[in-house]
Amino acid sequence: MPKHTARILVVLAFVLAATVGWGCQKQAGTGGTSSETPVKGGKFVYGTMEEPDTLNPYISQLLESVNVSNLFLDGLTRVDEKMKVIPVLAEEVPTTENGGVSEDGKTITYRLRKGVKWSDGKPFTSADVAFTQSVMMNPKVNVSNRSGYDKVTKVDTPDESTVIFHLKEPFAPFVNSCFQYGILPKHALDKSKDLNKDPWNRTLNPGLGPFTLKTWKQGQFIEGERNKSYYGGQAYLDNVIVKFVTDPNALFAQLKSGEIDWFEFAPAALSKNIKALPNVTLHESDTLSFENYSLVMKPDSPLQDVKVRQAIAHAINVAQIVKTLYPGETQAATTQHPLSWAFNADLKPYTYDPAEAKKLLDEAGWKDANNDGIREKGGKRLFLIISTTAGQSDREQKEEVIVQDLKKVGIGAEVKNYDPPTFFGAFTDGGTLTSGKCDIGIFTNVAGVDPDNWTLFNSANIPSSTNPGGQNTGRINDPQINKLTSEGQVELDQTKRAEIYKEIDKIILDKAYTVLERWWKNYDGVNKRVHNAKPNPTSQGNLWNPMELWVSGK
Amino acid sequence: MTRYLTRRLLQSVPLVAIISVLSFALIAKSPGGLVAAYTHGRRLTAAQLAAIERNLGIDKPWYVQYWRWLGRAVRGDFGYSFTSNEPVTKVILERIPATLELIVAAVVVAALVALPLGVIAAQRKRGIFDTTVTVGSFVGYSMPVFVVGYVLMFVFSIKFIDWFGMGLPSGGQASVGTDPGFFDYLSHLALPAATLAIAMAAGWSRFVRSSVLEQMRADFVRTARAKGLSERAVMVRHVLRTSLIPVVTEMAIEIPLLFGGTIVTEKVWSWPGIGQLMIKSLEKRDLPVAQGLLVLIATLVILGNLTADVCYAMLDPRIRYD
Repeated sequence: MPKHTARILVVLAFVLAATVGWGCQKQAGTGGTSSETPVKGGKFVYGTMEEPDTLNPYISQLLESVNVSNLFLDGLTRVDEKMKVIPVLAEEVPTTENGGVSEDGKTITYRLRKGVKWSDGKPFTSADVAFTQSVMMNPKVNVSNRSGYDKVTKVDTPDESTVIFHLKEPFAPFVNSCFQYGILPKHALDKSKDLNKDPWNRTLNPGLGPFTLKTWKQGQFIEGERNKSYYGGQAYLDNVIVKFVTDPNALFAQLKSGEIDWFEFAPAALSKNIKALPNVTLHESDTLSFENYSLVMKPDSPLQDVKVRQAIAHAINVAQIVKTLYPGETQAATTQHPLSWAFNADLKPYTYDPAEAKKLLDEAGWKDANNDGIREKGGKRLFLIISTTAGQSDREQKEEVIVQDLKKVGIGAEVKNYDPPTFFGAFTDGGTLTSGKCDIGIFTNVAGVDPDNWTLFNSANIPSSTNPGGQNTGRINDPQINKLTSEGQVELDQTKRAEIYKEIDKIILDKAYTVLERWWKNYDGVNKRVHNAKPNPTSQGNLWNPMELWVSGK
Repeated sequence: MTRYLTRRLLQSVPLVAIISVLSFALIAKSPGGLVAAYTHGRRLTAAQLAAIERNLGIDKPWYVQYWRWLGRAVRGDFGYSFTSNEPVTKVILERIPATLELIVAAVVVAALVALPLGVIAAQRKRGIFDTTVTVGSFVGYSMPVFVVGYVLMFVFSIKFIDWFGMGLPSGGQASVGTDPGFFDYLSHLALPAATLAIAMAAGWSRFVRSSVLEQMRADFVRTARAKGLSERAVMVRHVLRTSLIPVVTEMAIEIPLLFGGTIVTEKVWSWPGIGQLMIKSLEKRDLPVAQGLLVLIATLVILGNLTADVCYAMLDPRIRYD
């Protein structure tokens, strides 16, 4: 028997040696940008944790689908890395100045580029745009966001390169938020029996982008190759590969070995290690996502009292949480991003002030009469449930801090976390936020490129059995905010709109409707051989500029 | 034997049916509901949300949905994924080869390691070799799979680059963007298979050891020795054959379980198999895919148990089914 063992061990050793010897991944050269002149050729591998469910950006539930679809489809406009809306298939972005947006704001005209062809050679026309609009409003199609498109009453296509949208009422965010994802090919899809299941959603062929999709291997990668007939010229890269790696440590290892060129959305905890890699540049970029401790104001909740909310805002040491958990990031005071034209620079976050918090609670009538450390009023204890999505260590750590901070001022609190579908689920399905199963909900809200926040803060969006997916889960019902959020949608003058949203943020802060934590930062690790990597803070995604990307030293 | 097999297979049908009802109800009634993906951060009106529920066929009570699902499933139609909108059968079939590759590799490696280790340990009971194997297998068995995976990744993928300028691949089934050759596949398989094999080998080697020890004390082994057979012949022909019975049973039961049990390994190593699909479908509340997978795994476990019983009869002359 020992003889056998020895033989087996020899075989095993051989197999191991073989795999190590022949199959290893060499570490990629440390890059080096010898010339700044773009070089044509080469492939680029983009590593991400999330695989698109479908590539049709309208029916997908994932932002990664939008990101990848940038390679194969073009929209009328696009949002660049500075949050500016730029024309793509449209010749210019419609404004009131250039006549694209009518005086009353109810007619929006896009002039389209001429001579553009789909990858199968068929011409791209205004009919494709009108078709895309009809798909957006087709109740049989599971479109996940119809905001803006649902204001359109009629689409006119007077000629092949003009599209006119007639809106039922002025909707200022229209140009900033609609038709930035790909336009759909009418000739390939208008006979489709079921657009949700159409095979085109997985091939995007015919498409209209710098690349055409070559292969999609489930769970592994999507590969695109250069679209030689692209109207915008030829891309520098021969191939773009989006690789799905489900573990952040593996992404790190592959960035180090050069198997991937880009590590998308690295966890903050890994950013230091990425920075230390000689072959990689760490991009720290802003995002439109803000983390907040939302105060859920159920009808009988003590949080209905503004003083209790302000006390909580003073009691939690948010600055300390940000400093410890997210070094280098800053505390937020507004729900509009500092890069936005609607950002209110005058607002400052609540200071950490337990004495003030205690004073406010005393004033509100909450006193600890029985000396058990928790305040009471009218026989009710001031006890709050804190919830977030389970399994995220940073959120779980900050929950502990919040519980301790609240305890110091006499507010009892308990942590109860849920998995994301439960936490964000619909009212009718008992979702934690929507049905108000917690008092403080910790989660991220995503601000738009347009500052419109009617869905988040107008009382029409308080979740209920008739509005199960309502996004105003904090149940903010403030007459002033109701008025302003509605006005912001119909006011066309950007200066006046900016004032409106600055005012909204001031009220939210003053009345402590939510405790704002910070704006997320994205960490992207990019190999130095990649040029023109410009991470995009919006839902347009990091691959928004595939035409510009090139690699040196293949 | 045929009658026995028929009876057992027929008994399996209601069992699978019961499991399918339970799993369907559990997923359909899970808190947060099936349209959670459409409610967070979206701007859908109540009517638009209701239309999506209608399109997905989840506007009816769960038992109505189940009845519809069952009606189609018996005809081989398991519906469409809620997220990718592809046929469930296609989505699952695409993932099976990767998981099979991983399981076969891990089982082969684990068996090749566990059998000799177990047998030698039994032969040299309480010696240094035995003690080392015992301690090693307890460590291997009690370490969580993700820890094993991360240790392997840290050493062989990340640190190897610093030490040798290259390391083993840290994820995926093959290199992307090139035509992967045999050794490329093998190198990608090495660490995931090792991750899965370590705990298995640890458990099996204990099993083999105790089983061999028990047989070595048996009367027929003493008789065999008394007949003057060589020690080698005693071990191979008498001890091993009989002591393998419980080992084979253990393996036959464990292998189908692996279909669901590769989840952590697949997640750590970005392996494009069934396990990944399972987590994703549950995370996204993709009822048709999750249901399809649970029924598949339940069927495999039942078949695995049946196979174990059949193997018993073939290996052990004392067991006969009539």
